[in-house]
Amino acid sequence: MEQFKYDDDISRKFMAATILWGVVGMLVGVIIAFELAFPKISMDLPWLSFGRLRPLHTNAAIFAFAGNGFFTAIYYSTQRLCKTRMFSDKLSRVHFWGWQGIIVSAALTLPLGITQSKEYAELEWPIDIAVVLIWVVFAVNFIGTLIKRRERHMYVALWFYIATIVTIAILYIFNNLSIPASATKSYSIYAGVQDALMQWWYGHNAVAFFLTTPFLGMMYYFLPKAAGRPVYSYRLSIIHFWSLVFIYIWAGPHHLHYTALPMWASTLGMVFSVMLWMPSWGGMINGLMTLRGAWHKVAADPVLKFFVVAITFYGMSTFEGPLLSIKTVNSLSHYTDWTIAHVHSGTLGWNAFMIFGMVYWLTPRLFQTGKMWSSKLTEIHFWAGTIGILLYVISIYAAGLTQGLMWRAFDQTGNLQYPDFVETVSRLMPFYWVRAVGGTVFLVATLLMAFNVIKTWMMRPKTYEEPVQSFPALAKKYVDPKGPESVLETNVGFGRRLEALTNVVWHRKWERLPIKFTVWVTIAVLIGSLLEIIPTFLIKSNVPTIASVQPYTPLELAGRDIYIAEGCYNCHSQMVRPLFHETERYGEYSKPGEFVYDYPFQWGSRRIGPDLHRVGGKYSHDWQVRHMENPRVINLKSVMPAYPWLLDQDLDFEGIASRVRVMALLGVPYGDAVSNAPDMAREQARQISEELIAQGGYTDLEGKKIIALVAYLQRLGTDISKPAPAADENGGAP
Amino acid sequence: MSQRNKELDPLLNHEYDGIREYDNPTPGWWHMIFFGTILFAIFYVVFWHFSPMGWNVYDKLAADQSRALEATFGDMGELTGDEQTIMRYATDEKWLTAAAAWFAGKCISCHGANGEGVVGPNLTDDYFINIKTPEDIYKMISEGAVAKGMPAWGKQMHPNKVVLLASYVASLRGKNLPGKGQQGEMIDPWPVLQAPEDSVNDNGAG
Repeated sequence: MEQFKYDDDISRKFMAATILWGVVGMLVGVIIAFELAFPKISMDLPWLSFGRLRPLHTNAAIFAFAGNGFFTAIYYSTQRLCKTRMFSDKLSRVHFWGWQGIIVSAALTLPLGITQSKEYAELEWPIDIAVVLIWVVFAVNFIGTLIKRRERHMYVALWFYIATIVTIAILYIFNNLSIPASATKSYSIYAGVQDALMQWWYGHNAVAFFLTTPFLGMMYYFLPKAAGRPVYSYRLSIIHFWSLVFIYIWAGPHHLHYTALPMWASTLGMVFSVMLWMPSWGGMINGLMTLRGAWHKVAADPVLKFFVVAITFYGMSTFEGPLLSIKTVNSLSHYTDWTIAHVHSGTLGWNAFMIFGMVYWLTPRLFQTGKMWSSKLTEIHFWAGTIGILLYVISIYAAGLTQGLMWRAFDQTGNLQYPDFVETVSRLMPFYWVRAVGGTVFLVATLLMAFNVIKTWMMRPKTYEEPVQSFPALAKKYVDPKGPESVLETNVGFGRRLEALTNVVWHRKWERLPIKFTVWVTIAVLIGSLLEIIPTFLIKSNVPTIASVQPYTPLELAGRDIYIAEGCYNCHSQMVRPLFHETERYGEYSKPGEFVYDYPFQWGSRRIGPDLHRVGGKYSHDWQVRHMENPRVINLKSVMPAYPWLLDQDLDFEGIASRVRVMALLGVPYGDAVSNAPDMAREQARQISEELIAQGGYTDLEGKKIIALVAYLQRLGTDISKPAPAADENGGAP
Repeated sequence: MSQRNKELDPLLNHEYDGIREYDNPTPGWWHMIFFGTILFAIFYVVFWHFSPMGWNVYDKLAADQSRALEATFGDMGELTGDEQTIMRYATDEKWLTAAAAWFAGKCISCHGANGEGVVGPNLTDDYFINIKTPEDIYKMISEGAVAKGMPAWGKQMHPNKVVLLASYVASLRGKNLPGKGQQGEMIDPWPVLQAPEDSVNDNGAG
């Protein structure tokens, strides 16, 4: 017998962080929800503007709230499932404090406009490096714990934790590869179509391996614990685990239907998403069916109520996901609030409610109080939370459908019925108010939980009891038990093999071999990844070049960086889909070859404002400046934030040099511009300023940021209609 | 029913921190749907990417575009931006309604919802910049005055639309809506604005 104690202090730490960041993340969400309904509340402060706060909301909700949530689950359950303390207390604490440090640095940098602009991968390169280092610490600590375990076989929750750790590492590293131009600015090494593929390979699998697999692990541990019932089906957990892990990784391109992504990739994204339906539902079945014979407990125990609602939302979202991935459905839903509704039924319903259930189960145990301070308050949280979700998602589904239908509506004369984009936004305002109220209800309900947990914590004993556990170490030798007798009468080779496959004895063996298991998980996620990524990068015909498409000038590049810093991509796409209502509204559809110098791509995922890919030349400089200064001077109904600071702040012309150098390093043919970028930028700024003055615009903006932004916007989407440059330039033209 | 299952379900000898597992088979309908989605995937890929029956979104767009052009301008032929044509359609209710929709899509963010002017000039008064005749309107829309901020729409729109938009803009004159102040010079009335009974309403609004 070996004796040890579980480290519950680390679980307490992660749980406290979960609650704190949950409140912060939701609060930021509520703020931006109100900003859409009532733009003035941002008070024209840069760090309160929607484009900068929205990434803070998503990052806080995903990495701070959900992340700390499943770390709580992993640290609590892994020790018990492995019958051992964590591999290293020191690594546990480095992980905890390192992760919180990352969150704080995200909370400081994102509102300052320091961002890579790739959704849920906005954090700049120094923070990225910290994330990877801390993740490695976590991985070493976790694998170390698996290795020194005293339980022969790994329970299904641990499989899901393994998949999470391996895959998030792969996704995060490869999507974030970039070359720094300064301490706070880097450029993705991928451009245009390839960057889009990498980003949504990452983005979708952040959903898969950050918001799904660890939460399924959480479910597999805490649900049977709370219900006191065995898990419904061991076989189902095997088959749904492997099919989920293998299939999920392919699904990313469904975020890019009808874009300039090659069609074959879009098709793969769709069909794998459809095939993902049942693997996802395997988790739901195993969750809900585990409650058979325990439904009377669900009525009495708020922990189980949270879990049941969570699993139900999981089931709904994982049905809706495949539905939305079908191309024709996606042509309606994409860029609308439908996506936002889908995401929030997943995050509020599934992730948050799983975490809430876990917190209410853990709090009395971790603080050794035996019960919550107030079970009535728990009950109120459950109902208020549920009402909050419903208000949120129902209004936003309605908003998404409304806007999607308005965009594609033609009147009887064959013209767009709502040619003025802002009409399709104004119509959403009632829904936006309801959504903001629903979000507020959800936030207040979460605050009730925080209050309840703090009150319970205050009831804790003076010193926590740390019961000594004693379990024998694993014997060095182990003989796997024989499988069941064959039911086959003849010894046919194929039949035998099929029988061996289905009676899953082989899998039982894998479950005691953590390294082998990890290797197989890695292979499973790499297959889909490589089969989509390699052809997209290597096959030239995927991105036919367009001779007239030239690199951005140094000033335009600086303007593009302002566009990125202000988070314009959060509300504006740059991708006109080859759909008739879009070409009618925006102009020629976007071609893959137009984005070859877009490091990183800016296709966006949501149109709260109109698409901007063909905006170049559509408005005067004067219009652009006045519109940025205060959009409501131009259009009273606009909900766009005002950007008056862009007219005040000086553009750092000298700083453009290092940016152009990095671009050249990435292979952008900048030629002479590498050595005299600042002067070229000054010259173009002077020209634009003169044109602005000629248009009756402001006279004192030549050195300001707004000029660079105008230069970029006026360039957008215009190269395709220009003549190809003469062949002597870089020898580009055939 | 749950009572029955509880007794019949075979329990495995697995136990992890008190958690047990049943050896239940995976549900049949789960398999059926899973294999169904796999078959669908295969069928979908073959149909759309390897069979002559599949079409692609670019073909569909081209078909939609030519059908819409046919539906909109079917019997019209190609209009020219001359004075007679522009003024003829400036009183044609049907085409003014259509052109109003195009105006709403492309022009109102600078010229205002009713042509009263925002950043761009007021189109409802008698003062114009570099425009003296209806043909000048056509040229302005088609070629723009890029340095002054007016985009060139000729390359982005069907030629008939440019002509009809010129007619629409010509029809706005005289409404004298409050908006942007006078810019440019006061010009002579449009030459032959016919069918006064149609424009009574327009003038009445101003």
